[in-house]
Amino acid sequence: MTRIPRRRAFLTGREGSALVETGMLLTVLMLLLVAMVQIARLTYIYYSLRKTVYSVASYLGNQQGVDFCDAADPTIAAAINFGLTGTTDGSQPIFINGLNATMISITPQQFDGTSISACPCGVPGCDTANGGTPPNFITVAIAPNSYFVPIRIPFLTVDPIPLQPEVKVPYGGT
Amino acid sequence: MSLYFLIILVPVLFGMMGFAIDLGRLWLIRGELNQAAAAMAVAAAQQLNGTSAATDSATAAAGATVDPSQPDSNQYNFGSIIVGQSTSTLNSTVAPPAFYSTLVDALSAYGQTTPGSTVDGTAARHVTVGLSADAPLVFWSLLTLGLSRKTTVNASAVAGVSAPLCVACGITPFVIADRSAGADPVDFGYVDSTFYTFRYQCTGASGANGAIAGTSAIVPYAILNRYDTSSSFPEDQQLYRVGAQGLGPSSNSAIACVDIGNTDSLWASTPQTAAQGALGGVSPVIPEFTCAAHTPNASVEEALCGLSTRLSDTAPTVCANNSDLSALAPNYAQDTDQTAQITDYTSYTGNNRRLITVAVVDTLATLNILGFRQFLLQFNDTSGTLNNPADGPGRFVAMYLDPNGYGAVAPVPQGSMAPAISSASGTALSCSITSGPGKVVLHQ
Repeated sequence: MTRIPRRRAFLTGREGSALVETGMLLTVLMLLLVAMVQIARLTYIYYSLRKTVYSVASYLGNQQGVDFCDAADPTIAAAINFGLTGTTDGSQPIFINGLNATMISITPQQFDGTSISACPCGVPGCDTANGGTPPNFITVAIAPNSYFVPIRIPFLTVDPIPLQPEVKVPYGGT
Repeated sequence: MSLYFLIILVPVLFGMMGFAIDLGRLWLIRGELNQAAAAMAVAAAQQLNGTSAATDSATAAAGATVDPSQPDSNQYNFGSIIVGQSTSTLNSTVAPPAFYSTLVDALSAYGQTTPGSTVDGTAARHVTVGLSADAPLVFWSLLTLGLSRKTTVNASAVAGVSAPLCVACGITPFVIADRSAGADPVDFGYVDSTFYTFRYQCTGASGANGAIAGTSAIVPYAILNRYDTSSSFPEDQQLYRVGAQGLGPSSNSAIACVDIGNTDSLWASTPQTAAQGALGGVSPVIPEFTCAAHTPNASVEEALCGLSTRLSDTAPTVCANNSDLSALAPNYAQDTDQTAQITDYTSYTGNNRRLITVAVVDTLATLNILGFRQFLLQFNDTSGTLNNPADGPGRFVAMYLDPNGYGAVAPVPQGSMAPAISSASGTALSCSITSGPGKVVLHQ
């Protein structure tokens, strides 16, 4: 009787099949695990962005003397800094990687008793620097196609996903 | 062996993944709904002005934040569905706002399916908003509990009028005296639903400038000094704006607000006594004019031109002829309620343009701010005659409002419930009030 060497039995026997099956299984499980992590990451980033725009909106919604028609208005800058960093002067690091102030858009809106419409920067309108009146509502949003989340799954190419949460709140300032 | 491994491990892993992903999504959707509910509640509370129409206005304002015709309305499920709208698989509903007179009642109804002891718009000071939406379940749908592939998430918010404010911002900087000499801390001697002739403080006999017909008494007023030297607007336009829309906008609270407990001063270019001028360090003082005078003070006239925009888009002649002011006029639309004289405030259906909040002081001579009270501007007669800013002593008609004993009917745009800090002493000003206007706050 010829004895099969132990090394050869490992490659051709039942244990070898188990190794291949385990390898295949682990690959699938790893892909599922990575996909789950990416979904969780996407959800978390969306939640964080949403919280950022809501922080900006709720801060700005109670301020006075805001000129929504001036992109350099210091109160708007302070509100955006507050949402991004938790400090009005922007002295702390930004919470969310890749997010910056230029990605946050703020739109003043007026309410006629029935519906909301954009409040123009003119007369009449919300141009307070030229005698306009404060808006009734503001919408704070991540500007369209400005913030993308790359999806990283091994061996797969997935386009980055744009996230653009927005929130509308009543303006209670003067 | 690996087959056993597969059979045991995969369901467990899928279950854990489902739990994590679906729970995260539910958490996210709950946050989106909470933010939408808060925005609706605050928007509704801003409309609570003590009229029968207030609940309709509040419901409309709340609904405007989730208007399906507006793409930027508040949404949920990763911003894909406007709150209150439904898809083929997911339903979302917005319950009509419920209104309460007390915060206790409102908080009792928070999150409940039945609204509890609601009130109508004349007594409403707080509002609750309830939302519900289906959240999709991806992984839990594999389990028995999640066969419907969705679950309902609820959110609620309560907003309302705060406690009386010690610092009020955005109000009209007109100031009147306590008619009760301290005996009536709630109404300061003014009577609800009574028409008064507001007349700029003056001396001597009234002559032809007495109380306007149909009013009960003359209320002398003055204009608090909120001249903003850093503003790009000339003084006449600043006066026009404070009449047209109230104080502000300014990030400087000394310009945008009035503080209870403070000894204030009068606008430098308005007529005032030497003692009043001394309070503001004003020199030279424009002397107080006689009540019978027919020549108006220019600064008072400009403020009254602004005030007239609240009543009518058609400017009085004297204002229309002033190009410096008429250029600003298109910013300030007339009130939507054009009833000439409203005797029952609860029937008022306007957009609060006719509602003014003024400061009350102990006396006009000493100008110690005691509180803030609200009046409804009226046309001078039932024919709809507009007040004339060129009227010598600056007269106009307003009706005092305090039907429920709160000292106010509507919230003011902004303010603080804490006393202001004195710039002179660095300590908090005295503010022991129990009535007066509040501001809109989100309670929960």
